[in-house]
Amino acid sequence: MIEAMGLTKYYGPRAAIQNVTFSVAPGQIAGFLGVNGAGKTTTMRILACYLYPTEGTARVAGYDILNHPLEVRRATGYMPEHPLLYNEMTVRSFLRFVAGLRGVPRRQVAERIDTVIEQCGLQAVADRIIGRLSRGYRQRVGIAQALIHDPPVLILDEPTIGLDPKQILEIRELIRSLRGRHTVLLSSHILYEVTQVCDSVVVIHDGRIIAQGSLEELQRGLMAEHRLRVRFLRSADGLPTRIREVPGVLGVEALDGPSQFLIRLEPREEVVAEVIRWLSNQAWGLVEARREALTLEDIFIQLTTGRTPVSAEELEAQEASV
Amino acid sequence: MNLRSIYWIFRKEMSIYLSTPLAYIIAAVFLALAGFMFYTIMLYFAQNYARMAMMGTENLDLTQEILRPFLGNLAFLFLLIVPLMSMRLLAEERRLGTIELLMTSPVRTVEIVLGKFLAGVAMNFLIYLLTIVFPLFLRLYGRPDWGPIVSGYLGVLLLLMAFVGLSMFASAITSSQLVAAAVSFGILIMLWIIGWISYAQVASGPLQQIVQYISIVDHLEDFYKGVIDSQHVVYFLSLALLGLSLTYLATESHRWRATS
Repeated sequence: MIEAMGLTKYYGPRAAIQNVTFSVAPGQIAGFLGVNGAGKTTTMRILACYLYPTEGTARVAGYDILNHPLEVRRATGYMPEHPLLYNEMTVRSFLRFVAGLRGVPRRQVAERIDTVIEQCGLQAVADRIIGRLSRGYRQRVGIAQALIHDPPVLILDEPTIGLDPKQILEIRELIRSLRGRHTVLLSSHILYEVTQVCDSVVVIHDGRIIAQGSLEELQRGLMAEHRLRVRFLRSADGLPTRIREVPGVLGVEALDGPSQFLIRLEPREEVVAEVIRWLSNQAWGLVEARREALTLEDIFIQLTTGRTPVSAEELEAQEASV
Repeated sequence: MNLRSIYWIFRKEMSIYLSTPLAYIIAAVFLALAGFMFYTIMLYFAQNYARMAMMGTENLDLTQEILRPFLGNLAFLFLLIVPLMSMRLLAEERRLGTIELLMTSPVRTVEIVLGKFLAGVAMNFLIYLLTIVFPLFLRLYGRPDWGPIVSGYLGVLLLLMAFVGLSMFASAITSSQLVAAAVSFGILIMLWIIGWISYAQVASGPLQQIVQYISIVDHLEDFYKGVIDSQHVVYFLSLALLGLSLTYLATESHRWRATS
């Protein structure tokens, strides 16, 4: 439904995005993930036919963005970052204007407006001036205007940025309700959000796509190692040296004294099974062995910094020191 | 071109004009100035009339003696009014970012530009039309000649099209309304005074003719006399078209822009 093919956009000598290629299947909600400045907005603006790419092209809803921009725009609902609205208008009159622009047939306009007002929970503010609405409501008006012509494709740029937690939950719920009927590409720099809402992820960093796929694929494909957290009844001083005999063990770190360790393994289930069997045969008294999955947060950091993943505690410690 | 898109843009611009104070304030100030001008011209006319009456000729033409200088002076005020009325048209869309909303809708840039242009012309002309009370007022005391009045209004309509077209270009190249207004003051006033160079006799021959042709002043005179000359119609329309084309290019070039 959305197919970016080698999109490149230069701002002066600097490439904002380079050879961006990805696709989103019909009816899916895809997350477009990247840190701020990675090129998300530029890509989305190109897909929505606001900017032309320097190179490459894309197909949206079956139309080429360069040859049939009007058709693409008719089939696309786009919400720019920080929804940009006419502050003087009431919600209803703004939606009527947008419906007119998007070519909603005259007889259906009133019905479409009522539908999106209900869909986006705007009933209470429908006749208020947009300039006086709270951020959460403005964001919803932004989504409502993207939905007004019932487009098959929705492109939402940071739909939850700047909202309070309750508003974020509501917007996420709203986006989830679009699954199946619309193909959605939403950008975010918050990984958790993507895991909550999206079926698949496209990760962009420094203007390049560095990963894409379903969440599970991403998690599986990127796991360079398995981690096992173990605890013994008695002190297990000998473990670091002795465990190296077991094939597939990559390393060991002691945690909190001589009875707790973190063992890093090759990412194969057989290795895990073998190590657990070896551990339980030892005399230190294995009381706990816990698989530690790499979180997407780890993967994201690994991808965008090229560093090896760190555990959540280390991350917190780092953040605290910053 | 899709008339419906033009209509929706036009309608939105009109509703902003009508729901914000600027147009009303400008209309009020304009009418106050017009009233004062009318009053002074009337006084002057009354003195002339008394003198003429003493000499035995009472045949003074209301239209030519009062309305012609009056309407001509009012057109001059639009040098100041049009930039103020047009500065918002594109600059504000750019500042708010709403231009992105328009340009990602299935609407051609030409349609955006034309819708805004028509709204700008309509609103300025509505303000000018308020001056219709003065000819009507004269109608109470005499018999003004409606021909030149109608052609005078037509001339001003054409003038406004040229002014709004050029001012929109100023509005299309910036996101600041003040900058837009300043640039369009510059363009319009230059068009008004460019003819002065011929008084200094630096330019002569074909150059002088060209400069004379570009200058706006001479093109309005005939309309006030009741003459609709296609040469002047073409002049105003080509200025409008020039402004609109530049506006289109400035707006569309955003899609190609090379800065984030």
